[in-house]
Amino acid sequence: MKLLIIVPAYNESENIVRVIEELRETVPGYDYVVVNDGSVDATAQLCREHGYPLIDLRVNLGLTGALQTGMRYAWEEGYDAAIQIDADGQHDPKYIPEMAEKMEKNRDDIVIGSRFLEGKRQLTPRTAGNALLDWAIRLTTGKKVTDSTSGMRMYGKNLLRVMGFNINSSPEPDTLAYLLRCGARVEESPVVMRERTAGESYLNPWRSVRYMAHMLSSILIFQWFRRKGDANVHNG
Amino acid sequence: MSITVRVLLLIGALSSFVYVFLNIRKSKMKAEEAFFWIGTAGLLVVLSVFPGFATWLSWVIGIESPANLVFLVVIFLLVMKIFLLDRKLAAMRHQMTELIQNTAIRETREKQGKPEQK
Repeated sequence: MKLLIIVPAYNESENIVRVIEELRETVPGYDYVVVNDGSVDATAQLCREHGYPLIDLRVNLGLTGALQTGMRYAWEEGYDAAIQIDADGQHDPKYIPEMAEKMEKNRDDIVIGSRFLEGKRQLTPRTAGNALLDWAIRLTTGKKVTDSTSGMRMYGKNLLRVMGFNINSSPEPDTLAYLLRCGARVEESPVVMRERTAGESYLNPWRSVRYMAHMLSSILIFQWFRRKGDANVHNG
Repeated sequence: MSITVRVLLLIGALSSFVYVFLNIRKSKMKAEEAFFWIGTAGLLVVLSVFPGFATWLSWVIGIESPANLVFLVVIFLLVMKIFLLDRKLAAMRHQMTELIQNTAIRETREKQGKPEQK
């Protein structure tokens, strides 16, 4: 299976070199590409200096647009699968081979790196929000997902096209719910995520509330208006 | 309606019609895009020249005041216009995103010495 690791990066000059070096060391067999999302710091420059494969977006498109670029590239270059890894070092690349193995063996369309598959989750506002979204997905699709907000997701060949070209394909739980309803085969694989070591998290309380409202309405309501036929999701 | 109001209305309607028309002549807007504004300006002129029309129509529909009918129609038109603008904005954003992505991907591919696709 030809796998591309997509690393969307926005103003990650503090992290990017460390993250990519770890990636090269841990999983040397896989291709990777950094998608610089119009950063105003030295992210792109650092990538060029170190010779990392880079897609340099000149304008900031947001995470969805950056990831979409990577998916588009993966599809056009004929990859069989692609995985998203955050440029802040939260995702440990050592889990990638196991996820790829699962995808190949079970012909999955999506493999999610789940933080909550093993062990109990502690109750914090964040995990509560997570659980609420998982519940909404279960309610509307009948499928059990334990970590729908995980940013560490692997997409199979047919989903590269869907994720790369469909206007609604954000790397968010509502897209996951939609794809599940379209019949995508989703599996989870246990991962442990790290705290970010430098830089600031994007989420603050106000943004989190808005995010939850947006996701819940999207999963519970708008989903029913979306056409199912758009995504021919199955691999092989 | 008093004669003053009618005259003011007529002046307003005519000048907006002329303004829209001039803009099209100067090619500031494509004719098909200006269709909505020509129609709207024309409607205003008709209403100010024949105020009886609004009165008659509101009587037929059963709206007490002709002014309310005019407001209703104008508000409906404006809401539709906003919706269409929003739709257009989303489409343009999508086009722009694609353009930026394609440029960046092409650049990467050229750097890697790969042949162009599609």
